[in-house]
Amino acid sequence: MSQKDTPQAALEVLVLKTLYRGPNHGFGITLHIEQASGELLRVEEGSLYPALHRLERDGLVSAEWRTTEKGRRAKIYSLTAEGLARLGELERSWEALSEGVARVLRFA
Amino acid sequence: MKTILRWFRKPADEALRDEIEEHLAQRAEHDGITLEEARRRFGNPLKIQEDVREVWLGKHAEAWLQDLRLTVRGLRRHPVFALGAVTALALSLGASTAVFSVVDRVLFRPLPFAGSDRLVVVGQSAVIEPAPFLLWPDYSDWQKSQTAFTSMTALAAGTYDCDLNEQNPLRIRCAGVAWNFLPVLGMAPQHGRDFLPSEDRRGAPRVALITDELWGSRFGRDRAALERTVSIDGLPTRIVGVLPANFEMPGLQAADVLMPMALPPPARPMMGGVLRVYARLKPGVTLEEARERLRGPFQEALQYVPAQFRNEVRLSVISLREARTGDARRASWLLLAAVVLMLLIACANVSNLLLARAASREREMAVRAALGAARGRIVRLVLLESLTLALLAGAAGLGLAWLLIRAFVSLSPASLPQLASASLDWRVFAFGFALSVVAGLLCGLAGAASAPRVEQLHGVRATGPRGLRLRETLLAGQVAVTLLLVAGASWLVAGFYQLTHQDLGFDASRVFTASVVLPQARYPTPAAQEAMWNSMIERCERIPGVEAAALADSLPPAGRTRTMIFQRILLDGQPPKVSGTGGMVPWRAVTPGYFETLGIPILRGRGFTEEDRSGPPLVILSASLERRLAGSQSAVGRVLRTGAQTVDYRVAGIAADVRNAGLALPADPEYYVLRRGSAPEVMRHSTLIVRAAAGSPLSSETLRREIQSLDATLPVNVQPMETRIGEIAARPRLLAVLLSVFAMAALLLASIGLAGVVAYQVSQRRREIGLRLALGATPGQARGFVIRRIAYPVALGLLAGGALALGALDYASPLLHGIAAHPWLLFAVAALACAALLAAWIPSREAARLDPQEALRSE
Repeated sequence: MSQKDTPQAALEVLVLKTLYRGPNHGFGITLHIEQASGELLRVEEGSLYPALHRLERDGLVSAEWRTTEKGRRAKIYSLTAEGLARLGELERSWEALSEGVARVLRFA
Repeated sequence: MKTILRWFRKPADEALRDEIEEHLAQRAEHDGITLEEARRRFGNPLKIQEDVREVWLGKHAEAWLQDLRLTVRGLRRHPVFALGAVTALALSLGASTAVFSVVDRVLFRPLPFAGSDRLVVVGQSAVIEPAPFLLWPDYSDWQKSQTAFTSMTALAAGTYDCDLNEQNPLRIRCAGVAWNFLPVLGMAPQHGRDFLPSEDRRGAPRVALITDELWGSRFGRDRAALERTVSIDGLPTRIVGVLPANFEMPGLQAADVLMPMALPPPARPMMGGVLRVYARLKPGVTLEEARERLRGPFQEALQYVPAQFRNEVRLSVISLREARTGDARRASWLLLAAVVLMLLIACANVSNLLLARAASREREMAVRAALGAARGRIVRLVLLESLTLALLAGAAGLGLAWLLIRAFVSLSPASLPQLASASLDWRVFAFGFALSVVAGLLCGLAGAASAPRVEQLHGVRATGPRGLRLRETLLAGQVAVTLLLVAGASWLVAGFYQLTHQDLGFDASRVFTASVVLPQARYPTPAAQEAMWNSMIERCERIPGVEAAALADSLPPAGRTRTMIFQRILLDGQPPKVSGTGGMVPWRAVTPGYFETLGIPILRGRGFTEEDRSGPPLVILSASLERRLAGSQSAVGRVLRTGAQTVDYRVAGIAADVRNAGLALPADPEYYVLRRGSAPEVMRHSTLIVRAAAGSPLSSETLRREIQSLDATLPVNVQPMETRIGEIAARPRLLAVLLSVFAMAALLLASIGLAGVVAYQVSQRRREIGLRLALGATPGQARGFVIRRIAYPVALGLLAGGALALGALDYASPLLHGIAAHPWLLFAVAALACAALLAAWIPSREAARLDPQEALRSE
């Protein structure tokens, strides 16, 4: 199974979409992306956290420490209103991009 | 901003670590692998931390933070070096800051008066009264005719002791001022009101302004104190206002209460009415111009000066700041220079240390350069290190400065009141901070200049001759500066010692002085006053343990005395042959016990006795006055007249000369008049002198109680004579102490620096020394080899320092009279040479003990 490392820009929209489904912590986000893409995408864990913190800095997600049912402490991220808006924008631009790429590839 | 702050808190780092740990735990659980395996697959956690930090801080801040951490870590790994550097810098930064706090008040700090740079002191100055003054009629005239100033105001010369007579009498200082005193100076009362012109007239109801301090200590800051009438010197006076908290007299005179001068209408000729005059220059008028414009009024005023004195009188217009500080400015600039020199020495030391470290870190630096670190980054690292050291030292130095300032304030002489208010305020703090940064940059420059380039990564071990030469130059500079400080300090200390151990002409041991002022209200007539004085002497003579007691209106070695123009002293009816005034001659009115109490020998003739008090008027001359009046002939038995009086005094005897013009200046001739119970000898204030017998337990407190038992409302100020003399020597003492501290610190720093350079030499030249030893040199010769190398910079430094010292001592010579400077310069040179030898000796032992084989093999 070939797995491509997700580039940074893509990571952003994937994380936002994951959090659209509900608040989650870093590992949960990784897992979801891998499972939802049918193992086609693999998150480079080294770039996940810088990306998460970048989103937090820019106000697109908010974070707080919570205790899980297992009694462990984890940092939970949730989508903010700005994040929701940005998600919409990014979704549209990604769709445009992939449509455009597909067209060029079909054209030959 | 908040993003940066967030990352300056350690918790942020730890939080990220927790986050990642949690992620790893979950990954391990989910994938069924061990924690270590998960960690391995995760990636480089340090890189992730850096990246996240970069997210929050931005690219450059991250780099700076990294460098800062590196610096701190490097310093912690070499605590000896760090401690040495910080100590050296802290010493000099602290001293500099402390000295600045003092010097600032003298030289730089703006005066508390609005537009203080336009304020000047105006008047005539003469040989007999060097401080500028104006007589009341002249002041009135000048006010009308002058064109140089927007306004003028005046202060009656000589603030005086006065008594607040109520339940607890309080001795305070009163000053008589013109009604527009505050407005001209640019101040206003904080409560109540200022004086009115109508109150500045003889016969007007008495009013007063009190200082904020008096209002607090005496009236408890009660607003009701305003409009209250109190008794000052027995006369009812209404308090109309409170002066602002930052009020000070323009000439720094002590004053607790201001009252209108209330002089009678000006009329010539006028005796008394001597005023200190302050004025505000018109916009655009310089001091020179003001002098020009006042030439007319000055010439007019000159007409009223007796013709033979006219060419001794000059017009004087000086800025207020200069008038206040006088020769304190010279001392201040000197101190500041000394302190800057100290700082340079410390910087040189630290630079040397940094250079040594740079040499040992060259490998590390070259590797960094090879790995792509820009030269700028390396320079930044070096500067960051020196800045960190300097700022740390600055913080430590502030603590030292605080201690030093407290010491200065306790040593402060009464003649330098600015000192007493020196403190660690924001100006001083800012100066200390700025100085730390400058020091850090300076020290770092030397290291940064020798930052290596990539090309140097060729296995070359040490900084070659270039680095060594720089260090030797620094060393020479250090030696020169240290020589300056040591020479100056030893000169000042010698001068101070001489000042305080000279023969004063009288014996101050076991003598107490009690200064008393009799209030006008209770002792209105000279007879009443004299009766009280007599009771006081009798009471004092009866105190057990008292050997002798006397009364005088003034005391040596310094202080205000009554004076007579020399030209007006007639011996056998003849005025002395002198051109001009001949200067002022102090005179004192004393009781017969005076000479015995102070141990002043009577050289010829006899002293005063109790019987003389009811006989014809008598006078005793000092030996130098007899010489000036009668030449080589004796004056005993001859007749003296002074000034405008018609009394014939017979000269009873000649007393030995006594220091009466302060400790540094030669004695003025003086004469003593016997107190006989009538004016002009009797005054409202005088000083009791009491000598205790050897072994007697007499104390100031006992004396005060005895005197107050006669009249409980009299405030009495008792002081041992030796304390009084000590206060007079306070200023030279302060300077001597200060400079000695600097000199010793400089000597220490220079010695350490020297030892460091020699040690460095030894370590760098191990192969060469080993070779020499192997070829048959003795250990002694090996030492000689090392020591000889530093002889050159040390000798150079001594030469340069000596030349500088000659010039500097010239500049400083007005501060201490009569002490030859050059022997002390030689002493300093010798001392420094010995210290250098000692400092070089210890590390050179290393060279002698070198094992030749090991040294040759060392890489």
